[in-house]
Amino acid sequence: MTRREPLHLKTYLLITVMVIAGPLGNVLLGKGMKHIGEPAMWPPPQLLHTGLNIFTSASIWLGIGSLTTFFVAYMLVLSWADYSFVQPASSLAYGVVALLGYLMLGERVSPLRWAGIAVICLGVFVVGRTNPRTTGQV
Amino acid sequence: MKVVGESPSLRPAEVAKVILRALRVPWMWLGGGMMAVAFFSLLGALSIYDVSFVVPVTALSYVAGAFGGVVFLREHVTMQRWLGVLLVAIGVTLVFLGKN
Repeated sequence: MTRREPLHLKTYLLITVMVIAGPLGNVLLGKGMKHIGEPAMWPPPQLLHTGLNIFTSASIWLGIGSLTTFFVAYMLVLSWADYSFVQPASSLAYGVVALLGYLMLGERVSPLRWAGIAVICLGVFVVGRTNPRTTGQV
Repeated sequence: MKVVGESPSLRPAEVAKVILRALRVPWMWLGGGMMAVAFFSLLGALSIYDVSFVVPVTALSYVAGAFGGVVFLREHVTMQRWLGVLLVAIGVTLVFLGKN
Protein backbone atom coordinates (compact mmCIF):
# COMPACT_ATOMS: atom_id res chain seq x y z
CA MET A 1 0.00 0.00 0.00
CA THR A 2 2.77 2.44 0.94
CA ARG A 3 4.56 1.65 -2.38
CA ARG A 4 1.53 2.71 -4.42
CA GLU A 5 1.32 6.19 -2.88
CA PRO A 6 4.60 7.55 -4.34
CA LEU A 7 3.55 6.01 -7.69
CA HIS A 8 0.21 7.87 -7.61
CA LEU A 9 1.95 11.10 -6.59
CA LYS A 10 4.54 10.78 -9.40
CA THR A 11 1.81 9.99 -11.91
CA TYR A 12 -0.41 12.95 -11.01
CA LEU A 13 2.59 15.27 -10.82
CA LEU A 14 3.79 14.35 -14.30
CA ILE A 15 0.29 14.54 -15.79
CA THR A 16 -0.03 18.02 -14.25
CA VAL A 17 3.30 18.96 -15.86
CA MET A 18 2.03 17.60 -19.21
CA VAL A 19 -1.27 19.45 -19.04
CA ILE A 20 0.51 22.74 -18.29
CA ALA A 21 3.76 22.45 -20.28
CA GLY A 22 2.14 21.25 -23.53
CA PRO A 23 -0.41 24.08 -23.84
CA LEU A 24 2.10 26.63 -22.51
CA GLY A 25 4.55 25.57 -25.21
CA ASN A 26 1.93 26.02 -27.95
CA VAL A 27 0.87 29.42 -26.58
CA LEU A 28 4.50 30.59 -26.45
CA LEU A 29 4.99 29.45 -30.06
CA GLY A 30 1.83 31.39 -30.93
CA LYS A 31 3.14 34.47 -29.13
CA GLY A 32 6.44 34.25 -30.97
CA MET A 33 4.85 33.75 -34.39
CA LYS A 34 2.34 36.60 -33.87
CA HIS A 35 5.30 38.87 -33.12
CA ILE A 36 7.18 37.71 -36.22
CA GLY A 37 4.14 37.91 -38.45
CA GLU A 38 3.18 35.82 -41.48
CA PRO A 39 6.31 33.99 -42.70
CA ALA A 40 7.56 34.87 -46.19
CA MET A 41 8.51 31.71 -48.10
CA TRP A 42 9.66 33.25 -51.41
CA PRO A 43 12.18 34.36 -52.66
CA PRO A 44 14.72 32.07 -50.89
CA PRO A 45 16.57 34.94 -49.14
CA GLN A 46 13.22 35.87 -47.55
CA LEU A 47 12.82 32.28 -46.35
CA LEU A 48 16.26 32.48 -44.74
CA HIS A 49 15.28 35.79 -43.12
CA THR A 50 12.08 34.15 -41.81
CA GLY A 51 14.09 31.22 -40.45
CA LEU A 52 16.47 33.57 -38.65
CA ASN A 53 13.53 35.50 -37.14
CA ILE A 54 11.99 32.27 -35.90
CA PHE A 55 15.14 30.81 -34.38
CA THR A 56 16.26 34.05 -32.72
CA SER A 57 12.92 34.52 -30.97
CA ALA A 58 13.00 33.97 -27.20
CA SER A 59 9.29 33.02 -27.17
CA ILE A 60 9.90 30.34 -29.81
CA TRP A 61 12.78 28.83 -27.82
CA LEU A 62 10.79 28.97 -24.58
CA GLY A 63 7.92 27.29 -26.43
CA ILE A 64 10.22 24.54 -27.74
CA GLY A 65 11.61 24.10 -24.21
CA SER A 66 8.11 23.81 -22.76
CA LEU A 67 7.04 21.30 -25.44
CA THR A 68 10.21 19.27 -24.78
CA THR A 69 9.32 19.25 -21.06
CA PHE A 70 5.84 18.01 -22.00
CA PHE A 71 7.32 15.26 -24.19
CA VAL A 72 9.78 14.09 -21.51
CA ALA A 73 7.02 14.04 -18.85
CA TYR A 74 4.78 12.10 -21.29
CA MET A 75 7.44 9.49 -22.02
CA LEU A 76 8.34 9.13 -18.32
CA VAL A 77 4.78 8.66 -17.10
CA LEU A 78 4.05 6.15 -19.87
CA SER A 79 6.96 4.03 -18.65
CA TRP A 80 4.87 3.00 -15.61
CA ALA A 81 1.30 4.22 -16.08
CA ASP A 82 -1.24 2.82 -18.51
CA TYR A 83 -1.73 4.72 -21.76
CA SER A 84 -5.47 4.33 -21.17
CA PHE A 85 -5.07 6.37 -17.97
CA VAL A 86 -2.65 9.02 -19.23
CA GLN A 87 -4.34 9.80 -22.56
CA PRO A 88 -7.77 10.77 -21.20
CA ALA A 89 -6.15 12.86 -18.46
CA SER A 90 -4.09 14.70 -21.08
CA SER A 91 -7.27 15.52 -23.05
CA LEU A 92 -7.69 18.42 -20.60
CA ALA A 93 -4.80 20.10 -22.41
CA TYR A 94 -7.14 21.32 -25.17
CA GLY A 95 -9.14 23.31 -22.63
CA VAL A 96 -5.97 24.65 -21.01
CA VAL A 97 -4.73 25.89 -24.42
CA ALA A 98 -7.88 27.95 -24.91
CA LEU A 99 -7.67 29.32 -21.35
CA LEU A 100 -4.00 30.28 -21.72
CA GLY A 101 -4.75 31.78 -25.15
CA TYR A 102 -7.33 34.00 -23.50
CA LEU A 103 -5.15 34.92 -20.50
CA MET A 104 -1.75 35.32 -22.19
CA LEU A 105 -2.63 36.38 -25.73
CA GLY A 106 -5.98 38.11 -25.20
CA GLU A 107 -7.73 35.75 -27.64
CA ARG A 108 -11.52 35.86 -27.72
CA VAL A 109 -12.90 32.35 -27.48
CA SER A 110 -16.55 32.11 -28.54
CA PRO A 111 -19.03 29.85 -26.67
CA LEU A 112 -19.24 27.64 -29.79
CA ARG A 113 -15.47 27.22 -29.80
CA TRP A 114 -15.55 26.31 -26.07
CA ALA A 115 -18.28 23.77 -26.87
CA GLY A 116 -16.13 22.32 -29.67
CA ILE A 117 -13.14 22.05 -27.34
CA ALA A 118 -15.28 20.27 -24.72
CA VAL A 119 -16.48 17.77 -27.35
CA ILE A 120 -12.86 17.20 -28.49
CA CYS A 121 -11.85 16.54 -24.86
CA LEU A 122 -14.70 14.01 -24.58
CA GLY A 123 -13.67 12.34 -27.84
CA VAL A 124 -10.02 12.07 -26.77
CA PHE A 125 -11.19 10.69 -23.41
CA VAL A 126 -13.28 8.00 -25.15
CA VAL A 127 -10.38 7.06 -27.46
CA GLY A 128 -8.04 6.83 -24.48
CA ARG A 129 -10.33 4.34 -22.73
CA THR A 130 -10.03 1.79 -25.58
CA ASN A 131 -7.58 -1.11 -25.74
CA PRO A 132 -4.29 0.42 -26.90
CA ARG A 133 -3.09 -2.68 -28.75
CA THR A 134 -5.05 -4.52 -31.45
CA THR A 135 -2.22 -6.06 -33.50
CA GLY A 136 0.38 -8.75 -32.69
CA GLN A 137 4.17 -8.30 -32.70
CA VAL A 138 5.62 -7.55 -36.18
CA MET B 1 8.56 1.71 -34.31
CA LYS B 2 6.64 -1.58 -34.58
CA VAL B 3 9.46 -2.77 -36.88
CA VAL B 4 12.13 -1.56 -34.42
CA GLY B 5 10.43 -3.25 -31.46
CA GLU B 6 10.03 -2.11 -27.87
CA SER B 7 12.88 -1.37 -25.50
CA PRO B 8 13.35 -4.13 -22.88
CA SER B 9 14.03 -1.49 -20.22
CA LEU B 10 14.51 2.25 -19.76
CA ARG B 11 18.22 2.01 -19.00
CA PRO B 12 20.04 4.62 -21.12
CA ALA B 13 22.10 1.92 -22.89
CA GLU B 14 18.94 0.03 -23.96
CA VAL B 15 17.19 3.23 -25.05
CA ALA B 16 20.27 4.23 -27.07
CA LYS B 17 20.21 0.82 -28.83
CA VAL B 18 16.53 1.32 -29.73
CA ILE B 19 17.27 4.80 -31.09
CA LEU B 20 20.19 3.49 -33.18
CA ARG B 21 18.00 0.66 -34.54
CA ALA B 22 15.28 3.18 -35.33
CA LEU B 23 17.69 5.37 -37.31
CA ARG B 24 18.34 2.42 -39.67
CA VAL B 25 14.66 2.10 -40.60
CA PRO B 26 13.75 4.29 -43.60
CA TRP B 27 10.16 4.75 -42.35
CA MET B 28 11.56 6.57 -39.28
CA TRP B 29 13.25 9.16 -41.49
CA LEU B 30 10.05 9.65 -43.48
CA GLY B 31 8.06 9.94 -40.25
CA GLY B 32 10.58 12.35 -38.74
CA GLY B 33 10.59 14.46 -41.89
CA MET B 34 6.81 14.68 -41.88
CA MET B 35 6.82 15.65 -38.20
CA ALA B 36 9.27 18.44 -39.05
CA VAL B 37 6.90 19.61 -41.83
CA ALA B 38 4.04 19.46 -39.31
CA PHE B 39 5.98 21.57 -36.80
CA PHE B 40 6.80 24.30 -39.33
CA SER B 41 3.21 24.21 -40.65
CA LEU B 42 2.06 24.72 -37.05
CA LEU B 43 4.33 27.76 -36.76
CA GLY B 44 2.92 29.15 -40.01
CA ALA B 45 -0.66 28.61 -38.87
CA LEU B 46 0.08 30.21 -35.48
CA SER B 47 1.38 33.34 -37.23
CA ILE B 48 -2.06 33.84 -38.81
CA TYR B 49 -4.68 32.27 -36.53
CA ASP B 50 -5.39 32.15 -32.78
CA VAL B 51 -3.70 29.36 -30.83
CA SER B 52 -7.13 28.51 -29.30
CA PHE B 53 -8.27 27.75 -32.88
CA VAL B 54 -5.14 26.06 -34.28
CA VAL B 55 -4.39 23.62 -31.44
CA PRO B 56 -7.92 22.13 -31.14
CA VAL B 57 -7.98 21.70 -34.93
CA THR B 58 -4.76 19.65 -34.68
CA ALA B 59 -6.92 17.09 -32.85
CA LEU B 60 -7.83 16.01 -36.40
CA SER B 61 -4.64 13.95 -36.06
CA TYR B 62 -6.77 11.48 -34.06
CA VAL B 63 -9.03 11.07 -37.12
CA ALA B 64 -6.11 10.79 -39.55
CA GLY B 65 -4.33 8.42 -37.16
CA ALA B 66 -7.33 6.09 -36.94
CA PHE B 67 -7.69 5.87 -40.74
CA GLY B 68 -3.92 5.60 -41.19
CA GLY B 69 -3.73 2.83 -38.59
CA VAL B 70 -6.41 0.80 -40.40
CA VAL B 71 -5.03 1.34 -43.92
CA PHE B 72 -1.26 1.14 -43.29
CA LEU B 73 -0.83 -0.86 -40.09
CA ARG B 74 -3.86 -3.15 -40.24
CA GLU B 75 -5.00 -2.06 -36.81
CA HIS B 76 -8.43 -3.06 -35.62
CA VAL B 77 -10.31 0.04 -34.56
CA THR B 78 -13.24 -0.79 -32.27
CA MET B 79 -16.63 0.93 -32.43
CA GLN B 80 -15.79 2.72 -29.19
CA ARG B 81 -12.64 4.18 -30.69
CA TRP B 82 -14.52 5.21 -33.86
CA LEU B 83 -17.06 6.91 -31.58
CA GLY B 84 -14.23 8.82 -29.89
CA VAL B 85 -12.81 9.78 -33.28
CA LEU B 86 -16.28 10.92 -34.44
CA LEU B 87 -16.63 13.09 -31.32
CA VAL B 88 -13.23 14.66 -32.05
CA ALA B 89 -14.35 15.40 -35.65
CA ILE B 90 -17.61 16.98 -34.40
CA GLY B 91 -15.64 19.04 -31.87
CA VAL B 92 -13.25 20.31 -34.56
CA THR B 93 -16.22 21.25 -36.75
CA LEU B 94 -17.68 23.27 -33.88
CA VAL B 95 -14.32 25.00 -33.36
CA PHE B 96 -14.28 25.92 -37.08
CA LEU B 97 -17.85 27.24 -36.87
CA GLY B 98 -16.93 29.22 -33.73
CA LYS B 99 -14.04 30.97 -35.45
CA ASN B 100 -14.23 34.74 -35.07
